[in-house]
Amino acid sequence: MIHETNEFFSGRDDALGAELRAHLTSPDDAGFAARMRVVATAAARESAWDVLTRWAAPGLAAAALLILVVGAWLGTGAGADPEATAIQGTPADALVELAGDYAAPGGAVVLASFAE
Amino acid sequence: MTDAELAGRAARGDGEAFGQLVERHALVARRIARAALLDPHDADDAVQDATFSAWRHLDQYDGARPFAPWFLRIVVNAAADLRRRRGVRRVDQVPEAIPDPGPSPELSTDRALLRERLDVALRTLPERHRIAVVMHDAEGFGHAEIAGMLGVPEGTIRSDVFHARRALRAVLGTSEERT
Repeated sequence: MIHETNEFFSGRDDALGAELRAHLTSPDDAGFAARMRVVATAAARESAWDVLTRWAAPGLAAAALLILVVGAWLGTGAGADPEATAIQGTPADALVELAGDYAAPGGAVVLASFAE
Repeated sequence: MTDAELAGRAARGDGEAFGQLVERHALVARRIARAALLDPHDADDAVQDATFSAWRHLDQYDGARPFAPWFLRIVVNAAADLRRRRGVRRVDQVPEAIPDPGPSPELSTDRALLRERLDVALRTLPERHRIAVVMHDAEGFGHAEIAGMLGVPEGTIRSDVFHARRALRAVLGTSEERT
């Protein structure tokens, strides 16, 4: 038998520990553990989606900018411009040339279009 | 598969591995959260909050160390955050009337009475004493491990466990002198 004052240095009290475990245990513990597994897996999936969304944002912005540029070019009747129809090569070459020729709208205009 | 292996896979984005890891430690986490908050619903919310937090900070977990203490530290912090957010409740006070769910069929009257007294006794203890004695005597963690989880010196944990045991044994009617 160990005196109370030596208990500072003693090991576990298994009897008290068993009482505490029983007191803090619920009949639905197994269900809770399974639910937490689902929650954890969902948390991980949600985070992965967030990452994808973050990566997708610049891509979407670039695509929107390209649409704006092409739309503006078509809207100004550049399609009928003989200089424009004279672009040779692949479609990619055409886009590069168009992007080089076109006077892009100012940053404020682009941001305003996104805000809308 | 070991905790370290599961944590490694989880850190590489394997959500299923993280789910297994959390499931493995969910019940210990639940008991610790219950000891901290003394409310089963709040405790479950705290474990859930801790799970989200653990996933967000998984890159800070050192795979060379056991996963449970790292996760339980997050659980204890989540419980503290939850209490701060819901601030109006004071669980360190002895309630005027202990909620009595009624004795289960499998519990004798003596057993139900014992559990009710244990509940009252736990509510009289400071939160850290409750967590320390549950971690030590019910979950088997060492003083140093608990000190690391709670961010206090080991001697403080020894003292917490000592005082908590004395108070709990007093209400349980067990000897103060035991091995």
